[in-house]
Amino acid sequence: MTIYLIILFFFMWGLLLSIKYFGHILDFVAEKSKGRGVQNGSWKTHLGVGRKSTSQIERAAIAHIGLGANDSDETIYWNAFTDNNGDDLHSSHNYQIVFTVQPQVKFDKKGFWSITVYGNDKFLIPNEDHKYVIHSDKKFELDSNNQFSIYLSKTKPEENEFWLPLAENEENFTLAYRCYKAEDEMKNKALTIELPQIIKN
Amino acid sequence: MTFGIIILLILATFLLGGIAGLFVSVLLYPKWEIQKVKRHMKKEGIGYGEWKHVSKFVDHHTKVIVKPNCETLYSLAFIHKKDGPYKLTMPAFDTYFSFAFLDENTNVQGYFTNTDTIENKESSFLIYYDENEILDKSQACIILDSKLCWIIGRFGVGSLEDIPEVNKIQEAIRLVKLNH
Repeated sequence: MTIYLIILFFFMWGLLLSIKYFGHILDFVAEKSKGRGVQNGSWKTHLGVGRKSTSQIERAAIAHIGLGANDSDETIYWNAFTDNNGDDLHSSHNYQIVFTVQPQVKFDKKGFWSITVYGNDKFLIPNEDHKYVIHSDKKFELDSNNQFSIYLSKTKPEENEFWLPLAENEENFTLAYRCYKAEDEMKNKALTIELPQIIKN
Repeated sequence: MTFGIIILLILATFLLGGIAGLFVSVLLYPKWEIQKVKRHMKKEGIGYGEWKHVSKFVDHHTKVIVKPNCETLYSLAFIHKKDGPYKLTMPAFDTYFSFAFLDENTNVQGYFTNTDTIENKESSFLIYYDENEILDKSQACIILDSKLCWIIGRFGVGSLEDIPEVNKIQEAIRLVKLNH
């Protein structure tokens, strides 16, 4: 009898521990595994968000990092963990997110885009200005080099409204590029469509 | 020897429990997460067919949802099949909006968005559970295939100054049972 109770105890212990730490496994699945994810340069997305055809482990991972996310018919969520060279994004460096084409969203249908920076803990980075995101429902003007840039650094570059602060701590960070009402091309040619470059300065 | 076998048995049992836990978690995790939101709303006294309006953006102090977004405001509601069909009415709104209808496993069943509306006019959207319930086939509608549905409304906010105006729109959204 005692041996059965011991066995049951250890079975339940294993069961409860794996349930408790399941979130960490999902973090790994979300960040490291490819699954049905699409990688385009630094950016990664999952076009199966919110769809019944998505595997249960991927559905769980999506519920963990983006509960209630729209499917790709409505919004495409790109995430970046590395810069153009494949190096982890880190707050000890300054970066420039360079657009050479307009974000591919249906501006005429009130579509819009945004770039948000998250700290290593996946939450918004503390800053006095409460500045976490740059977004637009309008087309932006490209400069003389046919570029539009958003700057990431700990301190604000002079006279630049297109700046997002990085953490004062030395830590990795991630970027989210959300495209609400993305053009069909972004979904159909997700692997090759031109996305903003993340350049370490 | 016997002691060694017992230790091995314990380890194997522990491992087996861990694997069982993983299976359970994979299967049920999305449902648990939705139920968490539902329980949270219930605690605030928000029942089926009632809205919870998120009227301001989160900031770095908010540690509830990872990777929160800061460019749309949310209105959330749960509805249940037992209450029958609903009519969702959205006031005129000149910016991006969408209502996503999710089942209890986080699958999106459909949308009601600004592209379904006539500009600058109030619009309605009907929510059914059965095709036979549809009375007016000319009106935009969705047929849900789950008992529980989580409605997530998102409203684009151009700038921080626009928030009070968007809050007024949120308060004016109506979700009414068709059977009453």
